[in-house]
Amino acid sequence: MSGNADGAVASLAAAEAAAAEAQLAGLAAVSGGMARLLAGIAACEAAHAALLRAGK
Amino acid sequence: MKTLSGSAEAAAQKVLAGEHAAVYAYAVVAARMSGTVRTLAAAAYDAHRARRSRLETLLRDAGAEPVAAEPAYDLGALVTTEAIAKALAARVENGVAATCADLVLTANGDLRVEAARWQLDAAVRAAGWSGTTLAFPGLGERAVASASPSPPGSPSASAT
Repeated sequence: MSGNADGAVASLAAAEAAAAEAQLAGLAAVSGGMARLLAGIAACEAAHAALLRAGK
Repeated sequence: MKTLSGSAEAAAQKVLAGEHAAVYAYAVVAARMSGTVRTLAAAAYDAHRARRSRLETLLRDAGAEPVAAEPAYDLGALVTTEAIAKALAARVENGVAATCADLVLTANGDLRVEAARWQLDAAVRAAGWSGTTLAFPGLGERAVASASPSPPGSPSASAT
């Protein structure tokens, strides 16, 4: 993978992780059902970040 | 004493039951594997033990008696290969994520956010074991959750 590609993957991983954190920040202010959905989305984003960092 | 709604308490008990199963499963994986898999399993074992303690404290603080661990859990297969170990670990984590999602649904405030972080941890760990991820870890995972380690004789245990 080229340096640019490595940087792009790292940026994408950081964006996924930041998106997951942003979902968590809003959980307390929404309904339980919406919180469950947002937490599921955040979990997916966090998993994406982990897989990107692992190069998978 | 902190209070939990009835549904949040029930959900927290299910998360705790899942943590008991996870601790059991990771103990087996760590004991039977070597190298990186053992190292990762040992770290996961420690993380789940810590969460189990946290949940027991939380439930006791709410005036509830924490659910006890079962004497043994049906792991589905003998953990004899790395592939079996990784599949078991991923299944365990996906099951934990599902129970955490239910706690997110029923809890409020800080506990809701804490449960969501547990759900994220489980999703990340499951992805590490399987090399892939689910569309919404913890949601729509009831079938996977029911396949997680379960005590012999329970409704979700496979016949042995």
